[in-house]
Amino acid sequence: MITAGIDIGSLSANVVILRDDKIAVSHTILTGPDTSETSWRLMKEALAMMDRNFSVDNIDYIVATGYGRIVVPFCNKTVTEISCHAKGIHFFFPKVRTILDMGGQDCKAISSDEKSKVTNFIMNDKCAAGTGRYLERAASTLGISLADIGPLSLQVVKGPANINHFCAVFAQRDILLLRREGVHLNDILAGVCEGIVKRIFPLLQQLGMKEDFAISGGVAKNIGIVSRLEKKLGIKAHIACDSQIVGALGAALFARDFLLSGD
Amino acid sequence: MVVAGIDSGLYATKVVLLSNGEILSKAVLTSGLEDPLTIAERALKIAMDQCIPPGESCKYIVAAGQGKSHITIADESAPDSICLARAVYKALPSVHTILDIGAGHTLAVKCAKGIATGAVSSDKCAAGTGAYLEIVSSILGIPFERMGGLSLKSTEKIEVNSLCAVFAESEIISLVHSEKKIEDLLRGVYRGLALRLYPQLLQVGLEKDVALVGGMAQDIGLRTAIEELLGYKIVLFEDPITIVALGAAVIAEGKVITGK
Repeated sequence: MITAGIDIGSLSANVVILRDDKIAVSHTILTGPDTSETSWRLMKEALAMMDRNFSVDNIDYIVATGYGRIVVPFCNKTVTEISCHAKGIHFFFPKVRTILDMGGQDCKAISSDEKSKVTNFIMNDKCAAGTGRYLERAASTLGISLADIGPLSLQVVKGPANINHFCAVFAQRDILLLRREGVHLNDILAGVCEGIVKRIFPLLQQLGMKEDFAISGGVAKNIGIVSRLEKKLGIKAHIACDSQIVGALGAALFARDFLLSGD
Repeated sequence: MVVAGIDSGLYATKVVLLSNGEILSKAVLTSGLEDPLTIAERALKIAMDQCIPPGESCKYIVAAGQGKSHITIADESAPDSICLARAVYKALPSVHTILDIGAGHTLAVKCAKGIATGAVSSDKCAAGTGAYLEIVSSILGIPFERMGGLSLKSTEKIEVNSLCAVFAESEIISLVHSEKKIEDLLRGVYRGLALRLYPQLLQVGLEKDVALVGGMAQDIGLRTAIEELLGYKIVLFEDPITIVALGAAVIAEGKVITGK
């Protein structure tokens, strides 16, 4: 039995191919302007990693998720990314009841039950503050790579800089001014990470925290944010090892369920 | 007797000189990267050189704007809302509600006879300020000054729904890709901004006449969008950019005359 999940996000597109409940292939590319073309390219590259002569027809069931799910030409069904994320996280950590999914342009806090069913969620997709986009802007303003933000932010020199504004646009100005005043890069980054944590924390409070807790989405790779959030919550978070594929994995698991139930 | 009002803004520093109730001269300088005091001093000098003999100085200086605490050459500072109320009473006494739209903040003020009776300010979110238009201008590659005029040529109504300036960036790019006309898109942008500003006017209390001031006041696109929401015309100042500085100068003159 071979099933696949494809997750077309705002920044990255991910695919997971499952062979009898084991991940056979996972692959990630950047989402291009043409979503349909992106999904084909992603699938072709993933198929090339499978056995020779393997084609999309050999996959028994495909589920698409993510904001671009409706334009994936070859999927059998679509499922919301929230359900897929909960499902994907439970594959790795069955005890998880609260999930924070921080993507490129939104941030979701999700409650789920022991069967990985979503029971409640809160989402910020109205404001770029507190999303990956905020981090991207900060990185480009400071001329560093996204991956460097977390590690550098933990090597605080004088103390986290105070970034006055929540708004990603105004914060960018604050960052420039701080840099001009000669504030150390690491301290600015520490301020950036603390700002994001301040933005996320109320979402989790509003939702009601229940352990175990897991973080998924691209921002989960940022150790500066993860460690600060853990400290503020007073608990440890599970991080899916390749957290960007969680949504695609959940979709592939849904595909398996649909196939088995003949749905 | 010459007095000065200085408005130290995020993007521009404005100076107005008054003498016996008459405007002697004005100066507007881009704030740039220098510290607010240096720019304010330079703007003050430019304004003074236009009208008073070398060696003479200002009797009293009042500073306003977000950089006012840095303007140590001023004798005192005043909140923008009070400056606006004073300036309006002097220049256009029929105005009772003022909306000041700057690059990094907006301020709605209700006033009567030179007194500010209420003020609502907002500086949390770029989507409700001039910064939003600046972002739109840079994505579309259209100079800011041309956007308003273009928006008036719109024939189809498009909604630009994003509440965040950063997300609006993506939304606008995708609207451009879907071959929407720039004119229609711009009208949607202005309408969206007007809708975000409107609650601030309601909160402070709308009372005719309504005036727009600040760097964005001259934008015909924004003005038209707000007028469409209000259902009546907005009153325009001759020089809406220097209004806060004028108010500061009026306050300075009052201090000198009454000694308080």
